Amino acid sequence: MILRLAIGSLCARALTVGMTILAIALSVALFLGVEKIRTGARASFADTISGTDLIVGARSGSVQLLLYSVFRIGNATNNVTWDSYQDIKSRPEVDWIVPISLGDSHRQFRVMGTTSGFFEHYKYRGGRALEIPEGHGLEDLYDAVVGADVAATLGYAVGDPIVVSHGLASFTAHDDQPFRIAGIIAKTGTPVDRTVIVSLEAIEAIHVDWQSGAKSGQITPREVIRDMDLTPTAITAALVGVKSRLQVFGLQRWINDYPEEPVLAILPGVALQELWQIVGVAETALIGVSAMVVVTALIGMMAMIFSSLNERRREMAIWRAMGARPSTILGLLVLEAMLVAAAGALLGLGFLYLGLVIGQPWVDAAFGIWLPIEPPSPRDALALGFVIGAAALTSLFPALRAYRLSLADGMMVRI
Amino acid sequence: MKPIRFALLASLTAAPLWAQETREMDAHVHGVSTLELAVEGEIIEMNLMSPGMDLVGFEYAASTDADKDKVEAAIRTLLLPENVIALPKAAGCRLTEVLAHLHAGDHDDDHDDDQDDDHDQDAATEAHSHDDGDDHAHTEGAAHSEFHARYIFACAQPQELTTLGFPFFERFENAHEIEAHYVTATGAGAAEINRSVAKLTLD
Repeated sequence: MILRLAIGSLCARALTVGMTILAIALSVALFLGVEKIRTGARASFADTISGTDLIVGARSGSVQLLLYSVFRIGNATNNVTWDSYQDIKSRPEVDWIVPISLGDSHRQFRVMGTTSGFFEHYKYRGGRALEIPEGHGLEDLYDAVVGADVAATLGYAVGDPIVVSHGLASFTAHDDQPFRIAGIIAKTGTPVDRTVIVSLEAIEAIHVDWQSGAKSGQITPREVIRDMDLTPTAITAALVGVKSRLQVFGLQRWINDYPEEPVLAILPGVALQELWQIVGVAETALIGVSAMVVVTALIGMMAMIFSSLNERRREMAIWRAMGARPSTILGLLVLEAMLVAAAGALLGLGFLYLGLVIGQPWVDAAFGIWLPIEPPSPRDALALGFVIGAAALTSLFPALRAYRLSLADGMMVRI
Repeated sequence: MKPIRFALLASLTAAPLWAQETREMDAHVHGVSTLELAVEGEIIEMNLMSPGMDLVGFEYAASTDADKDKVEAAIRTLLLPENVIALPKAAGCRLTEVLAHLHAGDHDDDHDDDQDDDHDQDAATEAHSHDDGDDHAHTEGAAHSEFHARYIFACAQPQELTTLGFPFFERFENAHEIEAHYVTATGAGAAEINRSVAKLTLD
């Protein structure tokens, strides 16, 4: 009965109520959206590498090493010499080691030199291996394997020639030595999607005619290059798997104390956690701001109820005359507020999913963050419940006023 | 700052000589112990490194009987793993190896006891900072001793190793924090264990 009254009363003021619902809906969508992006970003980062026990690179910071070696964000401070790489490789604890060499690019995508071991040992999302549904892995010196996004963006198919550019934003291309696309990796949702993979020797090969960072005049024929010793002198980083997890820390310490060259070994999971500690401050700020927006919307609702009280004094008085107790009036106002908040919360949830459906491919392509579309988490439900509860609480102030006024006014309202 | 600039210069001009003479400084933070924990199959191995300051209240070489008693008491405490770490009963863990000792803080450059990977710290000079942030690096002769304890358990139900407790903080009043790094079947992670939250959750 009172519910029908409340709904009827809200419908009668559809415009102002509608605006309040919209304000609450937008604030709720913002709050849930921030939370969604936060968890989505964390999951995307955490899923990017698994099965690798240590990452080895030049001695810098663990977060920096993780970012440039795995996420292709930023650049290496230094390289690791091939000799040091061999020393680490020959340690008894090492089960496998995959060198990676970064620094060249193809259009907007990074080129990574590595060995075929990368396809065998690089794992993502809890141990999934890379798949090459079209073509094959690195077999020939001039084979290139491209990620799904590279192929999709540039419209590449297996067999197409591609030219690697020198450096990251450079006008000089290694056009004398084009590669052939040997395979396209299935979509992974990791930075591999945006990477062109060639062999470590190929990185050396395309720089054969380069001296002091510039192209020299002569062009060495491909046949000659194929016969050359293309062992690199340095690599950017290496992914390491150990035979037993019990040896991880021992090997890490050995590498970190390696006297011949300043190298650093990190545990990817530990470095990620360090990254979250840094990012966590900004995350908290974002959540705080979006929570404040929700509070603002609720205060807006309170103002709406207050201003409606005056015009509804006669209405209240009539109800009192018809036998409604003051507590009924109070209950009615609180119920109305909760209905408004609930409608706002549900609409906000709708906005969120609409936004996700529209924004998901774009966010994935632009930032490499996969935002899963899944039913609201218990945390989301809790947030929505909190909004409705807070609405009930804020509406108590105008409701109490109405309670008092309805007692005092009786039928003697003068408007 | 000066030695670093000189070192940079030296590395540029005399790169081949660099390998023969390396200077390094390990971090040493009072109040912060480090724990490395690895789980492989049924085996769980833990290595705890604690500054002498946290465990006995001093880091100079113990000379008086009172100091020596403190060191001995600390090592005796560390030798019993239940004083340091509490594994869940359901995991059914049995101790298979325990080790506790004190690294003295004398820093000879030719000090080269490399027989164990874990003993490398004392070969390098250590940068020193206090927990409250007043960093001050001792340039020479700084004696920082560190306790090292290692525990290896074999657990019947390693999947039950979810939450580990740290009675360590009750035993050692000066210890403030343990920085834990762990590797388990599900991956690696890091956690900060302190007096108010004296437990480590492995996921």
